[in-house]
Amino acid sequence: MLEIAGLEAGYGALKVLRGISLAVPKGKVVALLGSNGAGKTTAMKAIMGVVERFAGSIRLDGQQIEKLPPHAIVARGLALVPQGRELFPEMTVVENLELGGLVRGLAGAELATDMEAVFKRFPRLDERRTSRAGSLSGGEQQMLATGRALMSRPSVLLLDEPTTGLAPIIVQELVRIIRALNQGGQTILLVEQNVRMALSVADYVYVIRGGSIVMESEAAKLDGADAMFKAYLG
Amino acid sequence: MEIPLLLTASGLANGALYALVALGLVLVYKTQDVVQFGHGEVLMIGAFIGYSLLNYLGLPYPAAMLAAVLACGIMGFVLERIAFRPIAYHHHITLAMVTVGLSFALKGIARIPFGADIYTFPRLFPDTPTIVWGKLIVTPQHLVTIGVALALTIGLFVFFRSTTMGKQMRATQQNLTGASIIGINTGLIFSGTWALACAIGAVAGVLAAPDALLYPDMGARFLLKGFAAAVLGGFESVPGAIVGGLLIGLIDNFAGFYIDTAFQEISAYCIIILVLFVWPYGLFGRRPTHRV
Ligand SMILES: Nc1ncnc2c1ncn2[C@@H]1O[C@H](COP(=O)(O)OP(=O)(O)OP(=O)(O)O)[C@@H](O)[C@H]1O
Ligand SMILES: [Mg+2]
Repeated sequence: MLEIAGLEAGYGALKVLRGISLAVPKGKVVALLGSNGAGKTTAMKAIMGVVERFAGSIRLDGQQIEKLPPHAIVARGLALVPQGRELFPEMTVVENLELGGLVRGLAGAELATDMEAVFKRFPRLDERRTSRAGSLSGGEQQMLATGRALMSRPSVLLLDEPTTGLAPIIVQELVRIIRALNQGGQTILLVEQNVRMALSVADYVYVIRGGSIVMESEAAKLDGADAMFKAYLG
Repeated sequence: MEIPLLLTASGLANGALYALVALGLVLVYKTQDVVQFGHGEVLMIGAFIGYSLLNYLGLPYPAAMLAAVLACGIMGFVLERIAFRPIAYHHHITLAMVTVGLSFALKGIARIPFGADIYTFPRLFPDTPTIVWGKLIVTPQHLVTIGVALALTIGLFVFFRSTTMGKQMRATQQNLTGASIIGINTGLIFSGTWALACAIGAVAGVLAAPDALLYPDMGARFLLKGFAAAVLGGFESVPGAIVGGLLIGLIDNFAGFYIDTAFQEISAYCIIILVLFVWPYGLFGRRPTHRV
């Protein structure tokens, strides 16, 4: 369970998030939607501690984490699959995954078991174990970034635009994987441009605009054609 | 026939030193995108610490050298944390200026107890008799230098490939944002990298001092040669630094003998200029696809 209240964050003098509040209940998929520049990535990075937080509280499974540095936040169970993927390009698929597990102190047999689980989930990665991450296709890189995040056994997984820029067939594959993850109990906060896709996997939806949450609703009650909803998404 | 062999042996020994200097420069550059212009002074400080432990505390030679290396490692760790980290995200020029300042500061500190005098640094083994293999003649000091540099290179290779810290250092070099997002303590990696770079610098210092003599300004020459070696190797490559160092050592020796000894003084400048103009990514450098 991730609870955010009154979060303000930004870059130096620039305040991008103007006090957002949202909750990601255990076992649910929550989507954060918004147009380009609305502040979605800033929100994800502020939660991870990579972007400076000015005010507000962030609680993960009851613990305050808004003052902690990123490595301490990851250690408490958050993992981000960032928008730019941010892989280690000169390292192999296996090494990238391994690094995801090392920060949680995984080693030896445990590390190997988790890695095999990732390869089972992403058969495409299994075929490319010893390839350099930098040589993978966009879809494979997205899968590797997701696998690397899973290696830290996160209690909440943050996905920043996992499908943007990928071929429809890869998008479908990723959607299947996200659903399967959630069915396995994984709590997920999902940022998406693809509204239809987001509505099809999310339980609850928030809409962010100009750094503020302007709308929230259960996904099932939202009509993708709703005039106000569309206006907010710009 | 003997002269080229002689030149090769001492060229490799000098080259091994330059390779170690280049290695320290490259490690810091890969991690924090800055050239550590104070690195030559790290060699000097390491050598002076070794000298003091040997002469004033009377430690056995290997113990004194090891302690000097450790001390420089700790110095690197602390320097990064207090002098560098607070400004780590400032402009590159600011960072470079700080390292230049570091160079002056370290020289100043060394002059307080040691003045401007030149000291002779003892050798582990006396320089005579030289070791003769057929036509190859080497001094024991050169052999020690080559051996230690080789062992250190192998050790570093294992460290970067198989230890958690080593892997996290490589990851941080490749993608700083990615490293912090997956929970690597990047601050610790920064300090750790400086510790490693300074420890390697101290190894070079105590190996160089018996032949180069010991004085507060001794670092400048090594910085220059190490810099040339790093440029030749592409500045982002650990193997490049090593090959670059050995080549600089060889070029120096051969050019010094066959062209003019004066060339030894300026060869490094020539190589730096030549590489930057003709071959800007060096021998091992990768043409940047993009730099984030
Ligand atoms: N590193 C930065 N420094 C300064 N301003 C930034 C930085 N990153 C983002 N911004 C600004 O913050 C605002 C929000 O950007 P953000 O990346 O969070 O948007 P987003 O909702 O993720 O957009 P997109 O859908 O394009 O990914 C924008 O106005 C952007 O210009
Ligand atoms: Mg974004």
